[in-house]
Amino acid sequence: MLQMAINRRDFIRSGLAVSAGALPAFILSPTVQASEKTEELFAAARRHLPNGESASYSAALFTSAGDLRSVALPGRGHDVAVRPHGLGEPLTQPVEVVAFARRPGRFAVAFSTNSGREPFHFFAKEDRHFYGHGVFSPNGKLLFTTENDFENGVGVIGIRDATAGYKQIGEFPSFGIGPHDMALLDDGITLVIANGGLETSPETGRQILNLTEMEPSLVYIDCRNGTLIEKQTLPALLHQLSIRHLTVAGKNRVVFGGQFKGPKTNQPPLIGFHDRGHEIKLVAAPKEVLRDMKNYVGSVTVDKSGEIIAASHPRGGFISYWDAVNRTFIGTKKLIDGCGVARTYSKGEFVQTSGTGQIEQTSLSTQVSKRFETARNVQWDNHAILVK
Amino acid sequence: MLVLSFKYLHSFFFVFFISLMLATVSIRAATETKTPIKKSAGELTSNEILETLAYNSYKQHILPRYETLFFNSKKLSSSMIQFCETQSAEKFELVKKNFADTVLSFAAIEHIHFGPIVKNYRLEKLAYWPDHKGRGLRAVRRLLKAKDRQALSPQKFSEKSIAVQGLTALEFVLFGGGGKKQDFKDLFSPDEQGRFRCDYGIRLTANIQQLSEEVYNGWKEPNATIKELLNPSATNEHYRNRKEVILEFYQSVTVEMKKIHDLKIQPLFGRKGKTTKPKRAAFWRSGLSLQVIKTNIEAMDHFVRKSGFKLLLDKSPVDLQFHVRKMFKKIYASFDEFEKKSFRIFNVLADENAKNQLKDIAKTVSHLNVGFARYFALAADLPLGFNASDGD
Repeated sequence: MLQMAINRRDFIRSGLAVSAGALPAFILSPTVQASEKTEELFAAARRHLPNGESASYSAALFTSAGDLRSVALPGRGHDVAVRPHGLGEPLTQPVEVVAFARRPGRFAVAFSTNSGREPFHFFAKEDRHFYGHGVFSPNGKLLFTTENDFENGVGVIGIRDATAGYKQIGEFPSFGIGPHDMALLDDGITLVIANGGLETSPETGRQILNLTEMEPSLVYIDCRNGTLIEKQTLPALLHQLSIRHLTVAGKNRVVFGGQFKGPKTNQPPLIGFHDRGHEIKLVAAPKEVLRDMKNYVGSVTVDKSGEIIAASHPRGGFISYWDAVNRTFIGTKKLIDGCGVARTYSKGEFVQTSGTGQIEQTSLSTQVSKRFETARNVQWDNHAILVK
Repeated sequence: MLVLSFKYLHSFFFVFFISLMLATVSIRAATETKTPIKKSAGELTSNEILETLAYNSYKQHILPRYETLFFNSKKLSSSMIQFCETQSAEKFELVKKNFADTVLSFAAIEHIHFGPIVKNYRLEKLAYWPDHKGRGLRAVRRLLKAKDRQALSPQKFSEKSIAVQGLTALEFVLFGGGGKKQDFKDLFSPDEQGRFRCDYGIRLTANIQQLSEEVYNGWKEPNATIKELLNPSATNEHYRNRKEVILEFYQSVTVEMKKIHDLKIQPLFGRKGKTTKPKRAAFWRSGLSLQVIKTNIEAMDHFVRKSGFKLLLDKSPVDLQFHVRKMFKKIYASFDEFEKKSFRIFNVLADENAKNQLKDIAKTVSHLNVGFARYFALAADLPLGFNASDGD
């Protein structure tokens, strides 16, 4: 197994621009060492480097030792959702995940850790496309997906029954344009949705059509009936800051990463924090770091403790870390084209994937980073997730 | 076939960049005299490499093209005033000619998405396109219907929707809805509606001229954009290092190529490719759609040949330029055929052979772009990662 542990000095040199004194106390507390841990399983979508005329795509389940299972995707994937065990189902049973098409794709592929089970493909309706993200209800029965109703130019949340072949059983409005990432709060009822505010061309699904009229929002809905609970928007001056990816930290604090679509000369804060019933608080990284983010956050994930956030900046080639409790910047770690960030079972630790094919596990507690064994000639896509 | 050609270009592109590092030109002298002075291998510094790209692009492509746009917009503005004074068919023909010249000179530099053009939404103001769901057009219709002359004052007008401020709005003013051919006498009738339409046209052309002038002056200003491009540093507002500058130029080709394929051609075939959608083309009302696409592509060709990127082709030990030229020539041959038949976009999409030729143009553009993305950026060590260049 390729394991490239680096010492503390190398780690700091490699770009973790933070001194130990600046680390929150809980990060410095003892953590479970890698060797003592049970093997963690992750999932992510990826592209296989073209070995001919065109690229191919897959979603993989992997550990630090490499692939456990790889499933071909019909096109480029984006995020993966993990289906929680249903009530009464034994925890030993294989875990199912669903890989979603990147916008404007219409496919989703459900597959399990049990390689004996064939992957199951399902699709968005003809007049919808996925935005690449979804989340299961806590009992694993329902799957909620962010989708685009492109005829009407509005975002919707598709609802499917995972126990009935992912048959679509309903749909809610997302109360905004361009819903992207979403998550469930710990009540298991409230869905929080990042409406990016971008209307895109139905042909390519990527060309922005409403740059000057964007209205990104953070929306909370009751997943039982689609009722709007709360909607937060950004100040008018920041209407081009697309709220794109989010994660739910401790005490249901929602932390999001934005992508600014306005003039490059503007460099607004990209990381936002929101507590229900309050206004959004945007927090800027130090000026130099903010500039290197190039107005782009690729993904955000909270660690096991619910107190540390990792945000990726593939355009700047680094991951930034944030203290979710105090809403402060912690530091950065270089990772060329790094985008996927998954939590592990340890505090302040993340698995980070890169478009260069690299996967590394980084601990802010021990300030050690180690490389995973990984399949050759692959480029890991935007997101990675801890499966079990 | 084209992809196969590119399959063998990988090593060639790599050698390009090695060659660039060893290229034997003197930058300032080259740009001032347009005659490169030879230097021995290894003498070229990183700064000189950057200056080659920046100065060649600036002097031989960017500045002259913005100057042409400004020049044509001035003629357009002046002819619009003359037409409104005389209401003559002759003057209207002149307006249409100057409109076409201005649109095409805009298309010839549309791919530059940095510098003065991106300040204050000048790019979007000059041409609001694509106009998804006709929102922009509705705003233009509302403005015409309201006949509010106060809205045409320079101050009020600049505060209006960007969709009503530029060439796409002017096209509607000059050519009407495009459903059936409209005589200018109907559009510019002697009543209040017609007079307002003319006054709106005058305001529009003045605005287009002003925007073009601002962009041209912004590039002419020696202490502005060009200085930033030539002096990347930690304190530079836009460019921290040379790689970021090279990336800016590089993306001005690749992003536009993608736009031509994804937005300007592909949508004309509908979502499933079974129907045709000619009205999705840019400037279909004035019949300029094909010329706009051709001009966009020619601009890429010219930029690659005249900027520093051309040096890389020249210095390659193999005739890489041959492969790229071959692709561009293939594209031009198709456009030439359209022109011979006096085809406009509606004719092309109605003719099976011509339609397939247009699809081939899109494919060739895409192949050229894949080649650039796959090899050029990789060899240049540009930070164009899988996620960094096309994330979500």
